[in-house]
Amino acid sequence: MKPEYYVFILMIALVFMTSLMGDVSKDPFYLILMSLGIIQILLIAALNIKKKRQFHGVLIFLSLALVMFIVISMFKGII
Amino acid sequence: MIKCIDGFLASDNVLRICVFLLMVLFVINELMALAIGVVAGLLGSMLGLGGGFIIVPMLTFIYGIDFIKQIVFVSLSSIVLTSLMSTVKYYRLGLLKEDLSAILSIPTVIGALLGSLAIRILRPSIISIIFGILILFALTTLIFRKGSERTSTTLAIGYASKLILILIAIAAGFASNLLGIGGGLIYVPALVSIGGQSIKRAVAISVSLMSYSAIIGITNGYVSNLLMPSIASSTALGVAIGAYLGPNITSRLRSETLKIVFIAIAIYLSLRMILRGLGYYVP
Repeated sequence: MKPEYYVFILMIALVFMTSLMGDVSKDPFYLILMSLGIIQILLIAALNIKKKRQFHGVLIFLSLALVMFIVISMFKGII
Repeated sequence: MIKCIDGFLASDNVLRICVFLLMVLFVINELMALAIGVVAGLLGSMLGLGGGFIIVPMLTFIYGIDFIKQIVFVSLSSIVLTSLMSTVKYYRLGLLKEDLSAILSIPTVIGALLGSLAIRILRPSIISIIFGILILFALTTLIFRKGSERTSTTLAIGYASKLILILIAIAAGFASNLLGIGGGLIYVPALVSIGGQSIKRAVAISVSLMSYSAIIGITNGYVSNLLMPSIASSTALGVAIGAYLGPNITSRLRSETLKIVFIAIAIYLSLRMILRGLGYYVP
């Protein structure tokens, strides 16, 4: 399996885990934000998996993971 | 007389009038934001400037520089939607170069985080002055830009150039979250001159990077209680409408005349932002 798929599955799992934690269901804005994140993940996954450029794909997924990490940290009040 | 006033105040009519006035005020605000978004989308598609350069000064003109932080987040909200839409469009056109987009995405995110921390600390007057100066800089590039677009072929770039581009991406992410701009003003010249990309490819890469910083920016606005969701959604919708209608309408207009009018208004707005930030009253 390509590395992109692992990171992709990890990201989706992360998004759904945060949604199950409660904040997403209570707060519509958080839901919209997460939806935008998911759209972006799907978009860039589609762009990269097709291209078979594994290194660049992993880099983009890392940056997305970083975005989601920052977003969650902000909501949790860590940042 | 006093009895009459008391009777009027006690009646349900006062409540109804107040509710009606509040509704009118609410709708006016929404419509104004929508109109500004449409203008920003139209001008952005015609002049090649991002929506932030039009939304922030215009909304600051209406609401005042004390609300500039809220306005920055309104601008970032519209950038998320437009950048995602544009990324798909550029990808379909085959203009998106994924390798540079991938390399610059992480520094953009880091810069955006620093920018979102800076906007919490800095005073609105300082942000206003920085934005005013940046508009003047953007206008000089707009005035002295050559009429024909350079369509150079894409060149291979070395490690030194990539390192410089990474630093520039940090700066662009920072500026994006501090000032509510997409960052195209910083990315595009850097990608053309240092990255060896054609202008169209540089714009495509720049647009693909904007959504990262914008998502962080609107989250920051929300957690800081500075986001105005109703205004943000109206403006974002307006920008989307303006950007969609832009190419059809602007092809019928005399772009040079409109460009001169826009430059004149932008100079006034930028000087107003700088002077108001410094504490001088400007009408």
